[in-house]
Amino acid sequence: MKRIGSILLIAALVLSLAACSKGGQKEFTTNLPPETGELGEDIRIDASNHIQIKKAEVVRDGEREILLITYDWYFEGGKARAGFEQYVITAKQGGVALKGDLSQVESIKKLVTQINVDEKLEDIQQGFVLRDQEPVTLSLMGNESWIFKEGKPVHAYPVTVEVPVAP
Amino acid sequence: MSVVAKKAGSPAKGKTNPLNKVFDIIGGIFKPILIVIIGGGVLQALRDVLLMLGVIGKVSSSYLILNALGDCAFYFLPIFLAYSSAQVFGATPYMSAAVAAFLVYPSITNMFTWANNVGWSLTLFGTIPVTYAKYPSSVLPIILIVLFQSKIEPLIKKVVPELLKTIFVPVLTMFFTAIVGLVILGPIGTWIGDGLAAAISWLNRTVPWLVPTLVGALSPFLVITGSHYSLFPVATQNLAQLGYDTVLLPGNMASNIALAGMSFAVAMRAKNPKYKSYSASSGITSLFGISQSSLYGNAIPLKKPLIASILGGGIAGFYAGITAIKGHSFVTPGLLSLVGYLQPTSNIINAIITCVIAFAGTFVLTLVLGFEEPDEQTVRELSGEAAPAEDAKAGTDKAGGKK
Repeated sequence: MKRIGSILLIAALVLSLAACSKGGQKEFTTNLPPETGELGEDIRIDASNHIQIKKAEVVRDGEREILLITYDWYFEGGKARAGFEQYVITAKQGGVALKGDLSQVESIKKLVTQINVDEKLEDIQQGFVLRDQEPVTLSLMGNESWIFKEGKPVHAYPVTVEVPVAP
Repeated sequence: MSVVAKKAGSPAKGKTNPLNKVFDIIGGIFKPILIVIIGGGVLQALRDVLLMLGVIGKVSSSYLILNALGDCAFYFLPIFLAYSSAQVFGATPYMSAAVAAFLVYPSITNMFTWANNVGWSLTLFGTIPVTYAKYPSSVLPIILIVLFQSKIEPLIKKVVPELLKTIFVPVLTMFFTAIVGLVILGPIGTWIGDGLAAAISWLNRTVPWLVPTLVGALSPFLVITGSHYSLFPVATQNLAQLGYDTVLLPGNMASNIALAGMSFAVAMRAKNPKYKSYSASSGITSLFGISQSSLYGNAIPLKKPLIASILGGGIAGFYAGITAIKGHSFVTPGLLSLVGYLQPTSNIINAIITCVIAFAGTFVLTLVLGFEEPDEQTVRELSGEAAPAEDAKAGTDKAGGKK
């Protein structure tokens, strides 16, 4: 009796494991953000964060020219704070990183503001000190380090947006 | 600090030369952790070789795992250094490790990177400015921070009443150490590095051949202070704008290969089989561009081999400078980085000659200058062997501050 019981128990275990492994065969693909985006487009940069760059303008600050970008941020999934916990926007010109500058930003507090479920934080601004008149490549990076593409881990990548710099 | 001279058992024992003292302290701090640095270095070399042979792809979990395993000892280096520095300076090791862990805590690291990227001025309590610094893999900041802890901890122990010591000694020690570290001591490496980056960029515009010479010769010191990180943006910018770099990559390659030549010479000349084995392993990892074990286990404790490495690296760097070799990709500067010098043919030939000069020159110089072999205790520490029970107890007592 004990033997039959043991066999039934093992059989149940094997069947449940088989069922598990069958379920685990699903290819795991996380949200894949687009590699590039455009000004004005609502871009989903990771599983939860959306960025829409509405405006990019060049403003003067003494000798310096600063590219001032204005964007909206929307977070799917509850309360969240803007800033480093969710996304990072950086800029390059000719492959060289531009220095961030907040001197021309209207409200820097928006960069660290908390939002509630389904809220959109509008008109957030960031500035970058321009090196020349070459177009600027903005990098919009979400908060995931890794994403899965057809079951394989891939380094998360930023969405790039080309911004022309008008003289 | 006398603890170091006693424990290190280095050839400079008993000497009062301040430079020797500094070298002894650095040696004392690094000896216990070199074993993981060698392990990590070999794993990184293995990762690069497997990647180059196409055995693993960069988009694979194997790469992820191997990369993390090889890199973790370097990324979390401040935590290891904090513990060993505390043992040298007589602070409480676990509190030092906690402060180091705070500096590499993911949220802190992310916040610093974010603030640096967007131009946000970080402050503490709304008034005290916090300078951006890169703490993962850093060396100098945590050593200075633990040194500070070793001074403030006894004062706090003295002031706090016996009844409240359990709570207030760790709270106050960790708080003050972390804050002073974050605001004052931590950014020192960044400030040195930024000044250095500006000076090197200026030199590169006026006397370009001198830059690889200096980087080839002085890289060991750049690594000790962590200021070599400040040259990374210069190299990245060169690669992005010009498609090649002459500032960091050639000189760094010369220096690492020179350290490899030095370690192999030490391995050949050393009599202690364990030290021979340690030095040969260090030589191998240095060939692949991971030179910390050569630097902290051979060059610094033995001193004369450090001079040989500086000369050998400098001469090879000088050759790299006058032939203006160009590194076209950011590969760990060692033999594998030669793939970044393939075009044109003269570039790869001169890069190979640079490596040969660095290796052979330093090898010969090390043999000519000679060195005094470290004692058995030092070798045991370098090899990662547990100290005899009595020594270990004595070390714990010192580390715990029970003097």
